[in-house]
Amino acid sequence: MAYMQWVGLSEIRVRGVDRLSVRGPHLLVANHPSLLDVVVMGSLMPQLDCVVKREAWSNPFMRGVVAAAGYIPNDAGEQLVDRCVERIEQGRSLLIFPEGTRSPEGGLGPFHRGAAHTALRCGRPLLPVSIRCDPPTLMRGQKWYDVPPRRMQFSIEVGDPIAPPELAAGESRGLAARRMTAELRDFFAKRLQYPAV
Amino acid sequence: MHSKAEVLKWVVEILTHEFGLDAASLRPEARLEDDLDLDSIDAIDMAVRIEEKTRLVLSSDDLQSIQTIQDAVDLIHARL
Repeated sequence: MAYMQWVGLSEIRVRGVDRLSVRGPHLLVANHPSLLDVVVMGSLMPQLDCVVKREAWSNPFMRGVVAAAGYIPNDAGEQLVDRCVERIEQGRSLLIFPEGTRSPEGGLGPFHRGAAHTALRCGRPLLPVSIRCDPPTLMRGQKWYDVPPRRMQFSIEVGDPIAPPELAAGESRGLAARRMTAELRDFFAKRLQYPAV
Repeated sequence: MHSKAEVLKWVVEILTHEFGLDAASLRPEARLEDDLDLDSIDAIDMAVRIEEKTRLVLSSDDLQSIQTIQDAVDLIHARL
């Protein structure tokens, strides 16, 4: 990423980066417009673990990188949450894309609840990170050889932490995770000015 | 001996209490994942509540076999 910035292929603008300076580890959640999101976030936080699609381990271009980086595959369920909680308890910051895959063009996909479950188990807040890429580059449906017509500009905004909700009397964790995930998705929809679904 | 209607009532109560689902939408043919948006973590929580209610022990194979509300009812009823 530093090379791309140096030769003028890309530019990164960040707001709210001071929130990343607060003592961690941080549990980051981000929308996912581009394949480059992980690279951009990694350039801002060199120690950052990430949950990535299981398919990356089968991709010949990606498997070496994801394995060497120690990223977590997004296999379903309780095991994924266990692994995420373990990383946070080891003091490592973690990035989760709740959509589980790249965003649809001009919008947000449905949000999975793993990030919320992780936050509830750890008792740590989610730090929302909204990502914009202009012009759209390596988005879902775009070919890797679609060269953008001008310099890519990544706009990153780190929002206020979203604390895990206190469970109301008799409230199940399933309900609490749904509540937190809805709040999270609403945050992104408003921040990115996408229509709420 | 518990009837299937009674078991269905248990399952519906678990789903409404655990996941805030609207009881009116819980038809026996409703698919847990596709229609009711239950994920694999929810499946475990549902299994725990079923086990607490019925004293049955559900295996991971049992959970994988439950695709619809009716599947859950049939499995529980057969084991009771």
